[in-house]
Amino acid sequence: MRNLIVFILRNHFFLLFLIFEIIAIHLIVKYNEPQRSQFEIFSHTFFSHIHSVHNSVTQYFNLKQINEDLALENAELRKKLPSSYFSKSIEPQTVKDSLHSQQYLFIPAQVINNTISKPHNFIIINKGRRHGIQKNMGVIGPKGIIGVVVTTSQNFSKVLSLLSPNLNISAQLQHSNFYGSVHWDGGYYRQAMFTEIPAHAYVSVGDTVVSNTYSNMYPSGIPIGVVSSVSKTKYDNFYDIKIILSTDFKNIEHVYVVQDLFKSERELLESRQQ
Amino acid sequence: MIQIFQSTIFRFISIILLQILLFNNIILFNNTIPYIYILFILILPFEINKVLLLCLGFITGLLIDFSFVSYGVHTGATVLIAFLRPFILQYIEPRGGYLPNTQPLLKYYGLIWFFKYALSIVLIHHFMLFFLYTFSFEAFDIFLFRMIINSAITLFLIILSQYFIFRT
Repeated sequence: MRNLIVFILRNHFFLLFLIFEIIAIHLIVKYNEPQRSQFEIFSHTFFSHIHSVHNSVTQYFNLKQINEDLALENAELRKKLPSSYFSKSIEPQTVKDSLHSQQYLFIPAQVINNTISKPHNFIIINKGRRHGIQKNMGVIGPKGIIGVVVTTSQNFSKVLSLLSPNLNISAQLQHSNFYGSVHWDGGYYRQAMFTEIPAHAYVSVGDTVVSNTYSNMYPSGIPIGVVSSVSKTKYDNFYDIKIILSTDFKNIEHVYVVQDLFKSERELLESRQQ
Repeated sequence: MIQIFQSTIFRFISIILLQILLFNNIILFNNTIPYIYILFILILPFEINKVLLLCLGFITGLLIDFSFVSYGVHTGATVLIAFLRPFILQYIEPRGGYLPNTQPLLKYYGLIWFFKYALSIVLIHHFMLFFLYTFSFEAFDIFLFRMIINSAITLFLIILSQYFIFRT
């Protein structure tokens, strides 16, 4: 106590100065709006900094516990995700109609793997033999044609994407019935070639190219793409047409596998003709 | 002694009134007011009690603050120069020390000494004042520019006063 009094007496000048300055700053912060807001910003950043330093130190000691809790919570949440359930529905919905008989059934499926940048691109979907999917069934998306099933397993199927040079799909112009075939040339993933349109047909940029039933995989009229450029040299008998695919293969999630109920009958007939 | 006391009271009242009534209304270069009132702290006698000096600085600043409705800004700056004045006087003490019966005026110690003295006090005061006005160093170049312009004007008027008012 005595030491304190001695200290105060010895430094009374400086202490008085400090008291006056504190009074002045108190007055400033209390009565001046711009300075007060500055002071609040300063004190807020200062104390939040102190707080974050304190937090980052104390958090360190709890990291193990927090990690375990988070891992448990993650496992619990992951269990509840829709993707961790396997759809058990096998029978597609059909409508009984005595006047028209159903030709096409659509089996909804989800894309679980997809590539676009390889020379041959495949899509894996989460429906397989159990759901009635067979080889050579067509696959369509909300915007147009996706590809064709090449291999099936019990629960999954491998789909040869339209982005594959091996796949030729029979197609026609929407406004006329000139037909040709669409295939991908291995370049840009939004663009494909539409060939075998004869030179006397009328084709212009912006025409829609749709599927037809010649390839026995798709219903007719499913969009494939839009003509983006038409060229023909003087001596060619066919156009050289480029189309922009209507399906963005980078952005596909829900697809439908086309089941043609009359497919075997037609194939039998076609083989008999030969 | 009584004469010094009387003259100090007279200077206090006249300088404060001059600042409030005249110089508060002289706004140069659209934002610069000469803060001539620190002349009062500047020319207080050498042998004044340090505590009294601080109290006078506090009261002066508070009165000026009332006139500007900026409570605390001038008080903080004036208390700071009142606190630092003894150290500055000690630092720039001429050879042979301060003579008895003299005051820190230009006529006793010459222009060079008074200029050094006034410059250091004015710069410290204005720096603190502008800092307390803005309370941040965000636009530091503008801050420094305005501070130096204002200091120059205040310093000019203080030295001018030495030639015209405190000549005899």
